Amino acid sequence: MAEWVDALVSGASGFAIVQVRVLFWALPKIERMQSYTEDEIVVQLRDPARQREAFAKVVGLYGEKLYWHIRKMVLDHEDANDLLQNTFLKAWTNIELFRGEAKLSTWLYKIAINECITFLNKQRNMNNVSIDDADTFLLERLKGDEYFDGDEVQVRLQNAILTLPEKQRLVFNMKYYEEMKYEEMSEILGTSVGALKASYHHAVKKIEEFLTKEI
Amino acid sequence: MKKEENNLDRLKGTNPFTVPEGYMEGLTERIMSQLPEKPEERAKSISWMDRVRPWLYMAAVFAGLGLFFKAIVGINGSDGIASDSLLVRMEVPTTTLDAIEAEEDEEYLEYLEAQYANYLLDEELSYSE
Repeated sequence: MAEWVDALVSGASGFAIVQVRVLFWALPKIERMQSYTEDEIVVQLRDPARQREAFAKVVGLYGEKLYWHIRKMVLDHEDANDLLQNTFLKAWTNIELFRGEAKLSTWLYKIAINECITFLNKQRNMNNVSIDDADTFLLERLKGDEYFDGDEVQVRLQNAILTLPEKQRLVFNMKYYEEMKYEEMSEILGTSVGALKASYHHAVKKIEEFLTKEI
Repeated sequence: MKKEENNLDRLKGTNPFTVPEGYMEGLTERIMSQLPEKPEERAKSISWMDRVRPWLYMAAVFAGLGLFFKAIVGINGSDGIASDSLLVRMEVPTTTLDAIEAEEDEEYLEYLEAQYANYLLDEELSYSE
């Protein structure tokens, strides 16, 4: 019996070691493969014959990620869907302007953020809301959105996030929901890493205070 | 405060937002179907006229310059003599010149005849002998 246990333990530990080794061997390769894929796509995008096919790859790579980024900003599914379409439409029509100096994802994020800001400004005008006021009108839309099934705590959290200034909301969403690195956020938003860290810290504090008050 | 921090931590990773069924699966196809086709940039054909046009323009410029100078020189040439009061116009009718030349020719022939008359007569006499 003891021999069986020993064999099982040694077998299991051996399997674990192999798994860890495979993981360490594969990770750099996967990273290299991803970066190569983006480079390859950028090259294909410059070729008119393969441009559309390459752009479909871009949509496949970043479509879902950008959808969630937009959705967290505008909350409503239909609005997020329209803005995502507009984002890719703008990227497609201006693809010749993309020189490959920045990452493709950074460029797409910038377009998406601009689309969100333009949309939110329009909504504020329509709802007679000042730019300094909280975008709480979005909360009403969220409550009516059939594609939101959050509980009371989730609604309160969204309400708290809406009290943040626009840029701080962007920073909070990118860090809290998307777990984006500060360096990447810095490239997208054009703000220093230090300022972003401070902004996120303040955002967290404000949300905590809001939730405490609500209780 | 600590409680709320825990609350934020607890909520992290949960997603209350949902999407219609199959939305993400068909996302790429749906987005691509709504993108317009890019107009193919045709290579601009250079016509024969396009090639010749610069040379035509250059020829026109030279022709214009030539006419301009001719006009300027022509005006100055005709006005130059008239405007210069010290110049005297010397014109002799051609008929007069012809008459002088004819008269000179006649006198010259008479002179030659007088000079060589004796010589010619001697020669004629020597042949007849």
